[in-house]
Amino acid sequence: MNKKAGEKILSVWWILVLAIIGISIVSSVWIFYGRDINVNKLEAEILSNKVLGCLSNDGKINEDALNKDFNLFEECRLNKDIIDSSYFYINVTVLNSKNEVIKELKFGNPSFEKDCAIKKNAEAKNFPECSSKKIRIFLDYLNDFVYVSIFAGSNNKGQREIIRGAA
Amino acid sequence: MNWNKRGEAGDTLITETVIFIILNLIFFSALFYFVYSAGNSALVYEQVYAKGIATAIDSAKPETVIIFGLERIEKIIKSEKLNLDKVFSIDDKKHIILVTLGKGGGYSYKFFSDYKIAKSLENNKLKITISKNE
Repeated sequence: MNKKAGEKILSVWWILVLAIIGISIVSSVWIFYGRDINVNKLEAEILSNKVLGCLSNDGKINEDALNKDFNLFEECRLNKDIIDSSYFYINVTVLNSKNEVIKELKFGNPSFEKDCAIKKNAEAKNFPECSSKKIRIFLDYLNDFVYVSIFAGSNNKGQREIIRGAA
Repeated sequence: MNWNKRGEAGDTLITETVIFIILNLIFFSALFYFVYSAGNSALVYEQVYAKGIATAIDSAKPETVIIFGLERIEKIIKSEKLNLDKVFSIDDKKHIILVTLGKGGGYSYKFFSDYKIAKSLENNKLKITISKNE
């Protein structure tokens, strides 16, 4: 009787030992190899360059960009659903030489502007990465220069997918 | 009669010990498999390729062909006996890239460009053709 009870205690103890070994090995391997490679800064740069590229051409602004029905997504070949998800942000502001706003376009997660301002002054791990660009372009019909300011941000997150029924 | 009872007790002890050893073997082999698959850097390369392909697509212009060398993951593909065609899947409708270097799953990453993307494999290289979405 005593021997049986002892065996039971031993098996419970053994399961506990196995669980501790298993959890510690899996978590340490996961921490070591599962570290995130952050390309958000690069994505923000690509996004701002892409928007800038389709708004300007050879130092001149694409005049369609100032029209009311200008579709940034079609012109720049960006997917609206992805940009409008909470992982990206674009802000395009066109200012005249008197610093008055001629046109402003905003898409995506607007909180990125504040988040990136905070990140400039503090260490913030899961905050988005941003890129801002400001260029001066000559506008023929105004016979004056305008300033195009582009602010793009990315907090794109990858995901580990588990295939169900896999070994 | 007495001998028989002792024999039954002995059988139970052997069965219990065998089950105990088998369960231990299953546990440690599962642990070994996990550490081995993590150690061959499959988890890291899945992420590297998914993010590399996504940023390459986003920074490319239409009518561009991008070729990715697969030398770094060749060993993993061979040891895991993976079908190269199923390692990379690019969904240009959902804008997701999925790289699978293990039988259990893979790593997915989103890209924001609206292009038509075609994938092919040539001489153990991944060729991605980007064209305008009609």
